[in-house]
Amino acid sequence: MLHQKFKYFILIIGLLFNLPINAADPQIHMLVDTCIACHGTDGSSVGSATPNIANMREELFVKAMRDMRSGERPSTVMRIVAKGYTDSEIRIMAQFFSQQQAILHHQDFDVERAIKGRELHNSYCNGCHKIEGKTTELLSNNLAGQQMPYLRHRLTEFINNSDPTISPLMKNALKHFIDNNSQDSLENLLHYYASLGGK
Amino acid sequence: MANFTRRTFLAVTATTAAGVAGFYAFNSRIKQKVVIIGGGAGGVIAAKYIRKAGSNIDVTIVEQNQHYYTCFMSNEVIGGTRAIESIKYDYASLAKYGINVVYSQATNIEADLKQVKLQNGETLSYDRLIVSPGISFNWDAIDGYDETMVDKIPHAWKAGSQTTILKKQLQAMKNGENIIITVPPKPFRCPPGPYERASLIAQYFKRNKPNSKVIILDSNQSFAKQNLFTQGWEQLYNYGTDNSLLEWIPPDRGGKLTAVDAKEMIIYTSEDKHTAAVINIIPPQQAGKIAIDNGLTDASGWCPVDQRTFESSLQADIYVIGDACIAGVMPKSAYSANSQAKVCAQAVTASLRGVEMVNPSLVNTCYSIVGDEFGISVAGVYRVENGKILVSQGASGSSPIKASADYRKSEVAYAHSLYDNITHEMFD
Repeated sequence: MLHQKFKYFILIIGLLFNLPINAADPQIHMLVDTCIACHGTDGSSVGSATPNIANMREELFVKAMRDMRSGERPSTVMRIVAKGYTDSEIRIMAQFFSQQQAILHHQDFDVERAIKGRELHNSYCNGCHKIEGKTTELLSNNLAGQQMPYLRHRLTEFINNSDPTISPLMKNALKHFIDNNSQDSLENLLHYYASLGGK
Repeated sequence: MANFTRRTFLAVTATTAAGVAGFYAFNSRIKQKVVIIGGGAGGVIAAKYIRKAGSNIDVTIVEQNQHYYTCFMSNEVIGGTRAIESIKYDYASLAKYGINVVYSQATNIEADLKQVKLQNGETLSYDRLIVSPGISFNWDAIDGYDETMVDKIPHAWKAGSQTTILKKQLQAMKNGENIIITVPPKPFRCPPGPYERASLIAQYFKRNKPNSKVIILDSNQSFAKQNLFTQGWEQLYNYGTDNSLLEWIPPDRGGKLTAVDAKEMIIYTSEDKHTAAVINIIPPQQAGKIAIDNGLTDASGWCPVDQRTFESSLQADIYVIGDACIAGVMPKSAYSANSQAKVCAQAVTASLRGVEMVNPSLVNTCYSIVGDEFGISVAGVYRVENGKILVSQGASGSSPIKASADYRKSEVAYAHSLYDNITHEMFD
């Protein structure tokens, strides 16, 4: 009886402090290992069109899978793949990837653009998309080291209004950014995020 | 100490002995050996994931080639939009995962002795054997064509020198000369592959030899992603018009290959004869030779396996993954092999530890490049129910037939991204 209570205690403590889920659990690996031939080892992509999902916020992962499954968010193969998993499986995957350290792979970038991009990031983006430490917003993606073509594609979806699942916060922030700068200066941001990748 | 009787002494000794025995029993795991035949999309991933799951398992890959050329994206090499060096890999990085690689050909599996004989004279013993040999060609199936002719009439269905030969033959063609591609009966490696190849050759002709033409002689009445390919061909290569760069001839219009005259470069079909400057025969296929020679195949020429574990239905402790195995509704693709290898790695590890295997989860994703800005895909998620690999919750399908130019273009980017990640997972 006591033993059972103790187990729950440990579980609750674990949940409170978001302790790593058992990464060696074979059933967890059975699920997440299916993702990585496209998304890179443990979610860190070397391919330029696929996003890093390592260190992705758990809630954002769950939302992305649900939105692509329903077809609300535009996607290609993911609208099919997301259908194949139950809600609890998606939650397990989300927890796993949120606890992976993202390996930021090297990308070529323009130094001048990256410097301009850093200033723009600090003025407009860092409130939600923190570069140091984890982003505070539950649904904000990590941008450091994300592949430029992926980010460009995603921003285009936002600008063209082709993704209705965009958060009102992001929609307004993007409009504010473009009103005050230009669409081209969004490109500077991408060079900045690319500059944060490895050598 | 006063109570320390002879009986307790014996008990303590026995416990210690059991402890020591236990230690050695545990330590003997160090000697548990997995041998993997074939260093391709299945074998390399199985090796890595077994090492990842249990560092005390000794893993050896037997591979006959020093270099591996991916079949995936080799059609881009043939079509001239990718360099052959960019699909070439070696096994040097596997050492850092503690994986042994023996460069030789496995010639014989002695299942009763649990050992594999190699061409170099070595004998490797195993606790579990994984066979990931890919395909072999059924050379007896086509009258007048066999492996002695592959330099003149390449198959290019295993990447490497064959890829380069076909590419060079294309480059040497004169504007206005044609190529014939013959497609074998299903099932074969990479179901959309012949049509992707035809597409990328058509793209090459469009740019370099606009009066030349690709003629596909098909042994099948329908093919993978057919409506999507057809749409791409219509948009890009005038398909269906008098100026088409492509022609597809199914069996009911005389497309089925019956014989070859290699000397005169003539292809005979059930109803016709065709001649062309370049001929690419994709031969009928079956499981890799090692699987056939060692009783791992059934009458179909492919390897039946337990759909949960990929253990051979015909021989204990031998597992078959990738193109060679029969994996329910999964197609024979690199992604399938990758996914099966991960399931098999868990099954092998669980079996060595004497624990129950977890529920398998599998995925396939497969892109075809129809043109530089026109990509199409199929994807599926699979799980095992009642001993069968089935589509999970309806998660199977292909690109929509109605899609924007941006959508098609983005699928090319995703195809290349997948390629970079899957090869990074294998060889980095």
